[in-house]
Amino acid sequence: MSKNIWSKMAEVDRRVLYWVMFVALAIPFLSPLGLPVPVTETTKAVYDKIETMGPKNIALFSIAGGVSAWPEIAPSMVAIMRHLVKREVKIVVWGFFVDQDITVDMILSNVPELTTKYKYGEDWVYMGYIAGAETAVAQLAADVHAVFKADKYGTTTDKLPLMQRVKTAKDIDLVLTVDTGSYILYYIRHWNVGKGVPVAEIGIAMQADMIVYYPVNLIGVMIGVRGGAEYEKLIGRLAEGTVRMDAINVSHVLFIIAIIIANIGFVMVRRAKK
Amino acid sequence: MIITGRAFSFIVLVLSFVFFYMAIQLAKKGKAPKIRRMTAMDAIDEAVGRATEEGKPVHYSPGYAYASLSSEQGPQTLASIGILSYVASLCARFDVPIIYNTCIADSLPLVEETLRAAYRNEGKPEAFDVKSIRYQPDQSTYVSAVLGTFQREKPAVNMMIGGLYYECVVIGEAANVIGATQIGGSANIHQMPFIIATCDYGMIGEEIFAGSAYVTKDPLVTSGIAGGDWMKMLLIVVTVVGVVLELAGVKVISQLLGW
Amino acid sequence: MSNVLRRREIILFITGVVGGLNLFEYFFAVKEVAAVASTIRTWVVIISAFALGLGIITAFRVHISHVKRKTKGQWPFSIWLMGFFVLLTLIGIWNTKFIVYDWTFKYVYVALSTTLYAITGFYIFSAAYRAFRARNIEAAILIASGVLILLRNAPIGEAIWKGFPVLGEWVLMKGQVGGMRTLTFVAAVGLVAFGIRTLLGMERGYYGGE
Repeated sequence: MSKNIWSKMAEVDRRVLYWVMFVALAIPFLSPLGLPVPVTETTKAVYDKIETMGPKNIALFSIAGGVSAWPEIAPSMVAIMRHLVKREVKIVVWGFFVDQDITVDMILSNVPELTTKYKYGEDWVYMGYIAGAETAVAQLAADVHAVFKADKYGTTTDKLPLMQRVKTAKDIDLVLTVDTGSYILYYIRHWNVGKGVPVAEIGIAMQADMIVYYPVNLIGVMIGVRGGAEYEKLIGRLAEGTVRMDAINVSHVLFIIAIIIANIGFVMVRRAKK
Repeated sequence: MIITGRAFSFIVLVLSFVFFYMAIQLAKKGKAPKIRRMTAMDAIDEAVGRATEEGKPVHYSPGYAYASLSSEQGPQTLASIGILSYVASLCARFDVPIIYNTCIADSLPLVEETLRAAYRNEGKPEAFDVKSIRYQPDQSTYVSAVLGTFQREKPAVNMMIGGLYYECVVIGEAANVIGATQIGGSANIHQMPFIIATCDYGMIGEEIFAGSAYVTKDPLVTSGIAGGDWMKMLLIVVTVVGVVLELAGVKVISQLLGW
Repeated sequence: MSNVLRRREIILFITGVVGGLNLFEYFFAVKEVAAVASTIRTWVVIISAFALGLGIITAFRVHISHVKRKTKGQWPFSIWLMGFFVLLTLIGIWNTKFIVYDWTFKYVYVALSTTLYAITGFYIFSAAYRAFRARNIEAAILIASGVLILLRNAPIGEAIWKGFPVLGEWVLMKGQVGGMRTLTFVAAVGLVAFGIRTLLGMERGYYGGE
């Protein structure tokens, strides 16, 4: 092959790359691969923890991710909610993103048991949005009622039976933080360290570096679409996460092939120059 | 009196202050500790020079940083604003327009004051245009605004320093498309590979905090970096000793950490 | 009056008191101090909410200027932005369940946000293609580790060879943990140093001054 071919391999126009990626990701829609998804230790740990919980326990579902991250975190959110409802765990929901109402609506439409089986105010509550990032998380650990005077729908906190049991971080048995960034660290710092509240992370693929806190500070980590697909397998209800694993398969393989081609081109060009 | 589990942290904090004080005292005596050059910070002059030659603006953004100063990302934004002060001074000096895109609402007064002060110090207060600060309320809108800025205004330089998230790779690649020189930096570990992949000069980990001191070129301030490094060395020694003792079955260090 | 309030000494005093109070409250169990620090943190939450309004004012300032100057290719979009903002704000104040408001968020905002987030995948692809070259042995090791993690993450890795997920799992759970913890640790110490410089008034970023 001529030197020109190697140069072309090393410097493919990015628009060609985008088209290749687009076409490759479209293939699983036409012909699903349906490969099995092995369950990893960090996801199993979250499942095992919730399996030990029941109607006497309270879980905090903290939404710290926007709708833009739904493709990665929505399967995990829905699967975890289904599991919590199956175990009849009481659920407190609050969040830090302005578009979280849409996320809550999405969860309600996918987990109708929250409205049919659960009683609002007694079995679950949605406290709404709070600004303030780490300061808010720290303040919530100390005194929830000082931060949330009323829930999302205007009912004062002292009138919500479930919130009578939740005053500080120590009243929560498990924190599930749906995260696209650093909120997991806030919960680790202010809820886990010192107060000993178990914390689990439901994060995007970029949150893989949170593994460093497992198992000391985090009882489990669910990363990206894979985490959602694994959890769906564990609860025995395959859904969006499993479907999206095909796209993960294709994109990852494409990525590896691209890196190999780029490096072959790079090495051959360097050799030709010598 | 000290809350259980925080005594060791308190000792570390006190020692940090002590090392800081020692470093400053050395600087006052004219024996400022030497710190290595920071390539990314040194590249700022070169980058602004390039923008001057090409007659194109400099684009600066602090990243998403959770759109708030009240987070662990807040210090990164503040460090970024510290670096912005230096960049703005250069831009004012060489009459290079600066475009600042942000989605961090509570930093806006600080940014405006920083830019205004920079132009004032360069003797060109009338050159400051408050409309060079562009706010978008959300991460997605901020990213699309930056992409639009690159396409329309084609800055010669892109600096993204602060609490970067997924916008790092998007903005970085978009800047590469228009051929801009890039200086990036973030303490967010998950963005490290993208900064290195997309930027010509990068700062990772605590370099952005050091960078805001480095650009002042004030020995008293830069000596603080050395103070922090001494603290790191002490903690490394504690870690190594702790690992060795732990392997030998002596748990004194791990008990000390939890004290 | 505003010039007096902007004096550096006042800013440093407030920073020192608030910072010192919160540091004290973190380490020492004193009820009175905890109550004051807690109140201050609540104030921060409120101020953060107000900052959103400040941001909107800044945005409007820019766009009104574009409309006044009739900036080519920009001013119609500025009108569109401001008009849409006012309309949705009024509808939202009236009734957030109104179909226009609900529909705009669910089918315009969500779709656009997700699209922009999805662009990341394409950009990572082109960035990786351009930058992930095995220029030296360290870069080659880095690329190899990255490939193992990819094959661990995608079930197709196990379908190709059962050893890939095992190796990838090792890299993720053991191989990189030491390095990542080191970076976290180093960043934390740098943050402490930055905090000390801020409390001592050596940082000017937080008050925007000279």
